[in-house]
Amino acid sequence: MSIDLRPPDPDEPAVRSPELLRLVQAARTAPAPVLKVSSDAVFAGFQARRRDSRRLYVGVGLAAAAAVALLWARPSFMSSKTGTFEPVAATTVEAAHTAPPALAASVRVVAEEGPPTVVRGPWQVELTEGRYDVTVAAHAGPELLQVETPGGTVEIAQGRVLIVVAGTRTEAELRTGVATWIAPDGARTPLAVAPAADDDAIDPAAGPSELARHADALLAAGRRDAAIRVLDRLVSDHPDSPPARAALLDLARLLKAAARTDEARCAYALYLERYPAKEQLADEVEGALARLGPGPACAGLRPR
Amino acid sequence: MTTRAAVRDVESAAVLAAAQDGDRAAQAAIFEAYKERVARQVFRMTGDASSVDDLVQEVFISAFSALGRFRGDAQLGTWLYTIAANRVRNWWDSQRRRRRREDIASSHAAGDVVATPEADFEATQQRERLYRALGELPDKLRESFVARAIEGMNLHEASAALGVPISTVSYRTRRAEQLLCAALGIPWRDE
Repeated sequence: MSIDLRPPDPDEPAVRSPELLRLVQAARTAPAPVLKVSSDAVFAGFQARRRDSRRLYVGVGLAAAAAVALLWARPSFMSSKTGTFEPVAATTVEAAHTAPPALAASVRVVAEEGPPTVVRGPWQVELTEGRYDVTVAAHAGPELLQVETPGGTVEIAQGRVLIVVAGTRTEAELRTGVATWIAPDGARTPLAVAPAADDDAIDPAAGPSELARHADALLAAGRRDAAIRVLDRLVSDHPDSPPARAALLDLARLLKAAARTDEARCAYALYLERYPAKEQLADEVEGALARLGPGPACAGLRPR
Repeated sequence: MTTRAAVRDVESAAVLAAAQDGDRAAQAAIFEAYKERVARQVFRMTGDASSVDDLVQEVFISAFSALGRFRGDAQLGTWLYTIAANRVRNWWDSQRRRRRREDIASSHAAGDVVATPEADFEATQQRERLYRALGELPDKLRESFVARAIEGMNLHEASAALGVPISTVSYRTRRAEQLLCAALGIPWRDE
């Protein structure tokens, strides 16, 4: 395209191609959805963000103060001419006694396995390795419980969430109520309520759409391995169904993310076998497959 | 609906200052005055009705958190437009959202769940095609094209909303059209 140095005509049309204009008209005439979010929800979110910001400032301030105190105290540690540390005879300042923060009355956290919960404030807890049952009873105010874990944060407005922390991985399962998963990059995903029964069990009569929704719910709850099982079932049992193509792509991505490289390679290969056309993203998939590098044959590996 | 009176009221310094301090009523007034406009903008920019609520909420939370930086050089509506455009950029960047779009598109394409009349279904298909291609455009080209072509702004309005010269809006819109035509297999004529 050549660069046109003439000033634009103020009345120039936004779209010149009649064919493209038809698509644009379809977008223009689409009615905007009815907005469900309320000013109360916005206010609650604003309050939560403000609390987070304050905590950040306080944390930075405390860290700076601790660093200054350490620098100040260091000469007394190093007072020996031999260079060895000597015990400080007496501390000049007694550490201020502060009561540990207590959780809000509406909040209950039960550590079923693992160490006790670290309470950071009435509406903030930190979980390390283990399994926890977290309940936030209905309350009048806009407060949201922030459950911080190595894998991200679970924000609970009200309800019960089962949280399992293993290393840097966190699985959150919403049993009742309203909660949101906040990834480390800040992306927010509302959690779907998991079925009360054994939700790992896949209904043998479930159709492809139900399986796709089930996998979505498991993913939203951070349960990648369970989602992989459901997607595997979808692409294997319903290969010709409409959701199968996206499901196979999702399955490959999830397997790759789970470091199950050989299975991811097979999933991408199966995708190309089933959907070789360019408009079906075959180019993109070929690239992804190439990036995984060579590997063993897929015989005996899923998905098939 | 947004009314001129409502907009004038919420743009008063007192309301803005109160909202910045976390005054619930002031924030609610601003939200009510601008929510429809922001929702329309977000919907036009993403084409995804299911994400509008989340994005509108994020836009207003970001705006209230950053009100201290609002100098009043532009109108509050223009400032909100910029915040919404930034949030939408993040949205397009999100692979998860894109995958969801793929799910929706593929299920619609194969007629898995079709509860709309034929004409509506065709329009939905056309929108899906357009937004898929829009998602592949660079942010700045997409924003110019959406402002001009889908939101129906003239060059001056789009220039003010996007904060770039008119000639830049014109160039970006035409370049976007060229790329969209190529992606969609539509002939493009540079007149």
